[in-house]
Amino acid sequence: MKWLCGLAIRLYPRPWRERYGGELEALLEDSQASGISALFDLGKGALSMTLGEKKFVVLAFATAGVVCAASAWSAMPNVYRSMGTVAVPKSTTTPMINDAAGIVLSIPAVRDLMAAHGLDAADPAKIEYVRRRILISKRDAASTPSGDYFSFAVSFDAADPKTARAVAQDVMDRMLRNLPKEAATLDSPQIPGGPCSPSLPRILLTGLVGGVMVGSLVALARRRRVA
Amino acid sequence: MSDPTLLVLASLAEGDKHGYAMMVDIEEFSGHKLGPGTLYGAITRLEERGWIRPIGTGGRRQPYRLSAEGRRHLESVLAELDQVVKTGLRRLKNA
Repeated sequence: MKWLCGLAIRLYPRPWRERYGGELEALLEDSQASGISALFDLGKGALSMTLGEKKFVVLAFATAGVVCAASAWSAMPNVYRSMGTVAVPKSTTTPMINDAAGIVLSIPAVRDLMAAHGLDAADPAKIEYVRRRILISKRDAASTPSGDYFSFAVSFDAADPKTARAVAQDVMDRMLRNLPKEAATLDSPQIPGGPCSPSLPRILLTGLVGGVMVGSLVALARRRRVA
Repeated sequence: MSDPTLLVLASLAEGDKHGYAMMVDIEEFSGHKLGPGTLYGAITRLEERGWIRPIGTGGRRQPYRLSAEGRRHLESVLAELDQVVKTGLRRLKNA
């Protein structure tokens, strides 16, 4: 850890190192400070010295990042996800589930599904879009009161909660028709209470981190140009 | 009372010290163990403001001294803190 502390001192700006670097090394020798807290403290100090008076630049970019992220979030359409679970007997193999999914997710089947739910199935791009919104999870072990089963989940993402539930239920029914007779519904898809995306905290965090990174780069570039 | 610059000024009010001596002294009188980066960040800011200055050619163990301006600043801050402490204690007693 000692060599890492030595490395952390190298992160300080050169003029600062030339003035205080030797003293800081002597302090580390005398205090025997080489733990993770000393390393973190040195890293924090190096960042502070590097950014210097340009901290406001980082702050401005971070604020701008958060504001842009909040604007983007308000412009994004809500997506609702409805999910159900199918229980299949232990004799059902993954290829059997994949075969059933292949049938349900084939272009003609998706076109038929869309027509059944009043979705525009004329545009091939829209068919592909809907196909990508249907998720069939991997086989997983499941225990039910009537014994041990395998299970997999079926979900559909849509712009309105009722469509999400209706299509998810339809996809589940179509999967069941292509699986062994013992396969049954474990959990029916429900009308989602709220959107699954966009996630405001995640988008704000992305904006903040992006703003801090861009701000730091700008501050460093300006500092170098001045030096 | 954990402002590193104030702790460094209070430490140097007793006499000249180098970095490690300040670190030990601050831990003794305040209970705060300043990290090496925090201590030298405070020393840098205080030297820039002219409140402390290096003395002699101490090399790697450079001692620092409180300047007259630094002393005045410390006195002013401590007077303010003293006022806050006295008021707080009086109000707690009357509560």
